[in-house]
Amino acid sequence: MGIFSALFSRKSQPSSSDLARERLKVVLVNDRLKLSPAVLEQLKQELLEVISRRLEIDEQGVQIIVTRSDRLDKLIADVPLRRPRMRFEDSAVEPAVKPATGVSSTYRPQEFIQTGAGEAKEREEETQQAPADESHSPLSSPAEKGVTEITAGELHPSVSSPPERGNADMPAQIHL
Amino acid sequence: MGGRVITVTSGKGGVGKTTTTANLGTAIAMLGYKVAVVDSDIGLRNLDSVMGLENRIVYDLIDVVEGQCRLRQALIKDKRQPELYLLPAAQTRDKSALSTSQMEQLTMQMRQEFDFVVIDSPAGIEQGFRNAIVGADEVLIVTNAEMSSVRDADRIIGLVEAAGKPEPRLLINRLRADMVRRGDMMDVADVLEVLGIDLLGVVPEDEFIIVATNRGEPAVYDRRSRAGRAFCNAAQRLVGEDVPLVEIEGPAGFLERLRRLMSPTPMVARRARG
Repeated sequence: MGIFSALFSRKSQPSSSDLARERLKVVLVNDRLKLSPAVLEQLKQELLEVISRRLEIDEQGVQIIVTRSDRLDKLIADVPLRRPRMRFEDSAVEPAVKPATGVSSTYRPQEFIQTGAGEAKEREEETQQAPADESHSPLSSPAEKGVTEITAGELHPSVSSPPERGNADMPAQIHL
Repeated sequence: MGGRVITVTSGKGGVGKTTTTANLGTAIAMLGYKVAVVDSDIGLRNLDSVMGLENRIVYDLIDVVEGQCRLRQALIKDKRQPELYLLPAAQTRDKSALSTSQMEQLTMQMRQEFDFVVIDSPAGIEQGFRNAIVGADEVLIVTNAEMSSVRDADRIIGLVEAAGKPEPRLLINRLRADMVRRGDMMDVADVLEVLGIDLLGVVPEDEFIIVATNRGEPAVYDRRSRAGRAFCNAAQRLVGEDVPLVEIEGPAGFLERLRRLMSPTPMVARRARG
């Protein structure tokens, strides 16, 4: 019984020694640098604000930690970036799936016009011929809606799926 | 330049500074060196009773620095080791009775007389701690593998470095192999990762330490004591011998005990001075 409970409980939750180690790391950062969790959070927000002036950040994946090696403290910011993807050969395949997920509100193909009106238009026509695309709302027609400000994530048709699946490439990272 | 002055400190109380000082001092003396152990915990002296020398005290450290006696008069000769001496703390004074410059002077003087001077520091980070490290060539930090003492150890490491001393070494005391195996105690690697200093030794939790203190004979005299053996290994590393870290195992099984009994190497090889 002891073995089994040990084996199974170990997997489902961290051991108390793991907790101690991780809690110690955090508390020692506060002790050493007089950096409270609140200040660290504020720092994080400020950093993100600066970075997002230039780059699109995947805020879910942001990790900012203070750690040490060889008694040198360092701040490590792991900031995954959203990468705008304009690979139409990819997106041309996807609309067949798209309408099935019923995402016509976020799926706004007209936005592709921004970058290459001709190509996007062509693509539009292609997708409208696809059988699954019959359910598509008229809104998706490029002519009916002006080009709006969009984010890189919205540009990609698969934005409604979880970001880690949608960004097929490894997220770009900034190490500070 | 003379001998080496090693201060044993921890920040937190109760982690085993005095036990460590008594055992390391005794083990180094058993290796053939001339050793003094110094109790710098003014007002709360204990090293004398752990060494079993409490009944022989006439003068103490404060008497020496105040010039009421000579160093030689205050030093108490150990019962068993011919070249081991104790300089006891004053029990009726407090830490303000001693200044860092007095302590520095005292260690300079003792360095001339001994190969090793091992100073037992009081807990805390105040005057008593500063006095204990001021004359040290090296600092040994004792910690247990639990949050409070590791946290305090980290603070002490910073203060030792701020005092211009070389990076201290770590002794992890009272490690419980059974709890480590269950995942309920940080292991050696965890503590080292958090503190980031070199390891001098690992001493397992051992009931025998209480027995040894009851008797006033440090555990290093008893080869059945696992803590005693670990202190011996740490002492050998301190004097510069290359002793591998033995993995801390649970209570030894029959075969293991047999193997140890038949082991041809004595627990602490006595060797010539120098």
